[in-house]
Amino acid sequence: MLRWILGGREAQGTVESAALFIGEEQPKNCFTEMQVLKGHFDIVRFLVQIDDLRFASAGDDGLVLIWNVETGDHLIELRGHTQQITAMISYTFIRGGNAHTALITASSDRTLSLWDPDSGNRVQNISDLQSPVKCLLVLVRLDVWLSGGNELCVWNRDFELQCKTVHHSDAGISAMVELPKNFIAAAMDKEIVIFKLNLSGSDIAVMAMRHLADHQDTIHSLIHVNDGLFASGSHIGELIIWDSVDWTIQAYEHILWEEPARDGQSEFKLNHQKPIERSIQHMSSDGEYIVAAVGSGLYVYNVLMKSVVAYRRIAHDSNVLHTVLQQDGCLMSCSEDGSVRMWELQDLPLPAEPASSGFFGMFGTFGRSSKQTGPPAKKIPEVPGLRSLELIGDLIGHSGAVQMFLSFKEKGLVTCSTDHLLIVWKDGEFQSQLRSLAVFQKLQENQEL
Amino acid sequence: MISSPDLVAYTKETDFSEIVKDPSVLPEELSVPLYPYTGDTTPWSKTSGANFTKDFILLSEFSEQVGPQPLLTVPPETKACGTFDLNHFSLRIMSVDYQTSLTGPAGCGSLKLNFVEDSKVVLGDSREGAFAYVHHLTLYDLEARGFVRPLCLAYVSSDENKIIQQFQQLSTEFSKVSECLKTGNRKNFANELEIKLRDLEHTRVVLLREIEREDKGSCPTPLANKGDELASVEKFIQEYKSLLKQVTCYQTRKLRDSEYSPYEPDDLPHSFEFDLDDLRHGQLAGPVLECNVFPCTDTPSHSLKPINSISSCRFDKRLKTLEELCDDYFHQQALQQLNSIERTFRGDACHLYSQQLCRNLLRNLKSTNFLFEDPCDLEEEVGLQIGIAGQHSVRQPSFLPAPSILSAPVSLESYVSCVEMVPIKLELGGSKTEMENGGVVSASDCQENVEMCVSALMKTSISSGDSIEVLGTEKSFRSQDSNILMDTALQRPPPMSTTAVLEGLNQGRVTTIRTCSEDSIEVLCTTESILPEDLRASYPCAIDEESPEQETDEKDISHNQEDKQVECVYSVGNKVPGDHGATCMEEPQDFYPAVTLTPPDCPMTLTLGRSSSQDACHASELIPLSLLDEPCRIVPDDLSDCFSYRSTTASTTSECTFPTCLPKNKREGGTRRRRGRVGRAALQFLRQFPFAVHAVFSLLCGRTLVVLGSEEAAVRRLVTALSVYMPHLSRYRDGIQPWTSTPLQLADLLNWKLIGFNRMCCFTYTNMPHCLGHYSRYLSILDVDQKTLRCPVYSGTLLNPLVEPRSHFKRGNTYFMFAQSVQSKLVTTAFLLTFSHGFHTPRRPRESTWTQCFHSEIHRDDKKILNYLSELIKLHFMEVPPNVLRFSYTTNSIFKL
Repeated sequence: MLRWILGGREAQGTVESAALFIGEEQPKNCFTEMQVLKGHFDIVRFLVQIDDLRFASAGDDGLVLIWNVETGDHLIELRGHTQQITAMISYTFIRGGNAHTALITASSDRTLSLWDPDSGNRVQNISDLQSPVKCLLVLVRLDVWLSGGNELCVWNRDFELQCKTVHHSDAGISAMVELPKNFIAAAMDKEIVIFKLNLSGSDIAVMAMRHLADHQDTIHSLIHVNDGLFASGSHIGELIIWDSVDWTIQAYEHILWEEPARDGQSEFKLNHQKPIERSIQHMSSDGEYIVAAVGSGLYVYNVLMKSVVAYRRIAHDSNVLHTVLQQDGCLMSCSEDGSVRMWELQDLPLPAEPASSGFFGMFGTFGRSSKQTGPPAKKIPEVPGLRSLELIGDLIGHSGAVQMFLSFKEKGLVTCSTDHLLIVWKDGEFQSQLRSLAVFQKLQENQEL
Repeated sequence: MISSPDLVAYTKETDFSEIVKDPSVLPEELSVPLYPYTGDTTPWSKTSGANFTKDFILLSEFSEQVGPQPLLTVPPETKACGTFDLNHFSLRIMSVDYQTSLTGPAGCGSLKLNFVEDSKVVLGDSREGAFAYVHHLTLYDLEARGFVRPLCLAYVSSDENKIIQQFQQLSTEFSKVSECLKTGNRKNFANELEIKLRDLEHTRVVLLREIEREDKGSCPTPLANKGDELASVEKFIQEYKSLLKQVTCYQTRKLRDSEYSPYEPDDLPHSFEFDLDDLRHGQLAGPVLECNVFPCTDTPSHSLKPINSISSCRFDKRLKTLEELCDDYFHQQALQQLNSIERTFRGDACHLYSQQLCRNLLRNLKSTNFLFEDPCDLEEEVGLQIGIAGQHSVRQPSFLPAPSILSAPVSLESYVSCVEMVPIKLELGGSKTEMENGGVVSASDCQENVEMCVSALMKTSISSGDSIEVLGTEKSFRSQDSNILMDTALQRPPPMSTTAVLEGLNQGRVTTIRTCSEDSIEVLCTTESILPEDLRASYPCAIDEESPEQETDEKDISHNQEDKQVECVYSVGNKVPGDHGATCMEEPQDFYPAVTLTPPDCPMTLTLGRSSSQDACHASELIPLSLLDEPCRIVPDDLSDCFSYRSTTASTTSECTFPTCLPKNKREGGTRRRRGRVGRAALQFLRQFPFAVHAVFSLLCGRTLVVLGSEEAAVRRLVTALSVYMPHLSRYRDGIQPWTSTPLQLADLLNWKLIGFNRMCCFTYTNMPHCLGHYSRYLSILDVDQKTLRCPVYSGTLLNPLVEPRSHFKRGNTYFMFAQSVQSKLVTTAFLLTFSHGFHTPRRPRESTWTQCFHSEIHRDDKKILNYLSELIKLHFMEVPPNVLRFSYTTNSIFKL
């Protein structure tokens, strides 16, 4: 049995690596033009879209730079933070009938700033925070925003502190999502804490309603899936789908990759092997599917069917840092290996064959007790609608880990990286046409046409 | 005394009205004018008798103490002129200075400075075999006679044709130098005047005091002396103030009215002139009636006190040197400019001509010329405006703004309008004879051609020595548009010989209003055999000092003078049919097709070589410029090439200019040699690597090519070779990094398209440095050590001519040119692709055939090339720096030797 499993794993490994070598022909990869944006002096970690044209980048150098995605022009530099930026979010509010978009940044220097990306002004600044802010959340409906550090603070538009929670553990709040009925879910180490915002007149009070302690390890990722669900992922590969209203577990997945196969029998060996990374670093969702970056692999889960859709244990050579599920079923991921990969969900030509190899995750619902049921190898073929995740293209350019990317649809894709660079990837054909149009426009203006 | 002067017809023009207007011909600005070849001799078959080795610039002065003397030459004398007698030549060129207004009796009214415009003439000294563009100018010197120091700048060459061809550029450039000198001089002169005025004031005060004192005393005689002295001093003060005012307001006056030209034509004694200019322009410069002569050394002025430094005898004094005359800064500037002029015009006339043609053409290809052209061809010599004499069809670019005070006229109208008479003032000693010599020579012996050359070349010449010819003037060069010129010429006052001018002066017609502020001074030619009346009769439109001309090679007017020491270089050409192909070097009887460079796809066909004494290589000189992408690259890369200055059969002195190009002329010679070297390297590369075409493809489709090797020289050689094929990213970036050891960054890929990479830089024993592996998607790698090439395969057709193994080019330069021509074809197609409207809006109902053709017939790889070039063109057109890296996902193959 074990031999069979191991053999299967190896076979699967070769299959995977062969599949990952996409080759030099990438007909489905439309990004044939790149533009390198220089300006940062340290790791660039955050990208935030401001409008159709502009985006902001921020990172460990404390700088926030505003760029034009079409031209690659560096528009404005927002200087003020003295230490690395830990969170950045855009904040759109209505003022004078017009929608303004501002940027809120949080830094390790325990400041929070509001920036006007048009003028570059630091509109607001709060500098005497007790702890660095790790995450930010804007509640558009209430026109307030929240900062999460060691405590949860609620601020109004004018940067006035409305209320805050008591000091939490040192771990602090690492992620927040908005839930219906003014509830907030915040990830604090292994727990998810549900807060409630009480609005009475102009006063806002916040109070912890419940602690959900179902994760065994630190929660790295907490996302909003749809109106009824949110999801959290932990360091050891636990993926839990929660009900947004009653905070019950809708689905529990423990993504183990092949580890259970060695349980008990190869314990010793395992300790000396490099452990397979299965931490859920990042998740994204389009409401129906969840993509989880599990170690260096990808895992696609259908929350409606409560079933795995596709997976790839080794999608990258190193940890996947960011994923996005696009509307067209295309999936993108970036990794510490410096590449961005584009995937496509394809129906398996022979459903049983690839599924027989390698995936040893547990499938179950409602509780982790079900995770150890039965030999996994038998179970996988039974999963209906399992599809494969096919690599359709990769973007190689960064020499360091790609921290994040931001898609501007047809205008391009921006990636930021540890190598201090941002790269805008564009559709070469489309850009060429745009340039031609520009040429003819100029000719027309000059009346040379 | 003047013997019969040499008269040399110096240009001839085809009547271009004969050219059939073919709708398919190139637009005017892109067509190439016929080379002003004249018929019986090729430029390089002519021997030169000059005994200097290369062209030089001579600055000489008419010293009031010793007469004409050379001051300096550029380059310095020993290098330049060999045994050439500079003194003698100075004498000759200075002797035609029209504007020397030297002496006159004392007692005239207030002083008036002559803001004389420079005169520009072409002179020839046939005996010496020297021809010169001569630019006369005057500087002011308070201590000199008439306050003027006549100087002249001369560009001396043994090639008459070169001078004539380059007249306009020479004129422009020398005008700048002249203006520079004059500006510096005005500054110093004003300073000097101020000092002098202070002295005079002081003297006046002293004198007044003395007179006062002596009033109390007795003796009347000394008192009278003092009184006279005082009056004299006061008069001087007035005069100097007037001078100062004139000199200081000069610039503003010039600036205010560009047409203004204070022209003082007369230097006759007591000629009171009614200064029309001054009258018209509000009397800025002094009294209406004035005498422009100044009492000079003959009538020494009062000796004043030591503090007033008017010396009694100027001959005692050392004349100021040029450095003293001219402000230091401007002096240095002028010298620098002279040096640069010398560099610019170094070399053979054909070379200069073709180079200028080429630049003109390239300038018209603004959208694409950055791609493969040498940036130096496009950028350098911004100051040198190109107008090739005899260049009809090439639109002359607008003139560079000369120094603002120069206010050069730009339009043809202004040239034409600045028509006037210029009397010649010659040395007093020979004046009588010379006056009689003043006359107009026209093409008396080409009356049969009169109908055709509507306003044919007028060759005017003045001789004050025995063999000085004035071959042409700027006026004549500028007014090449014959029709307009004829009109104006007819409106002009009748031509006058010098004697007539004198009459005119007596009649009070002294000054002429010039609408052109510069350089329309003409020198009349002197021919005893032809009287002005004859001239007018036979040549109604030809005006003496105007010398309108058409420069074509078709018609040549020559004068057979009795005393003809100069052979007519380009004279009496056969009348060549104007529509006879693109070549202009036609001499039907002894031309035969010598070389045909006709690769299948290359439009470079041609050519006629002369059967006589030229080897076949000469044909490369004859390649019609219109067919070449860069005609100036005709110039061979080394001496062994077919290019020689005039001919190999010529005397040693005739080989003069060409060899000198090589060691010194960094720009042209360097370029030339570089091209040869590059071409040779490319040929070598093609022979060494049978898969070269794929590497070329990488370069031409914008994929960075890394030449990987451990030996720097080999890598650099290959980079050099491959640079032939590399389109420039933009005008200011060439994208070549010949040798680097630092690991490549992403930005490097954007900046560099051809990289020589040191294999040893990475301490890995693998084949490939890590950075190359990382970016391998964007790189083609030519491994010098292992003789492998990793890159996409090229299977198109466009590039094949470039690497055709059967192309048996022997010379690097030839291959370089050939590659250029093939590339120019690519560029043309890319241009079409870029700017064909239908192509970019494919939904249009009617697609052009070209678009269809592009989609259907052009190979995928060729499309890549064209698209890449097209993108570069677009970016260039939009003036966007090429800051994007375009790439494609294609399979790489590995080629092994």
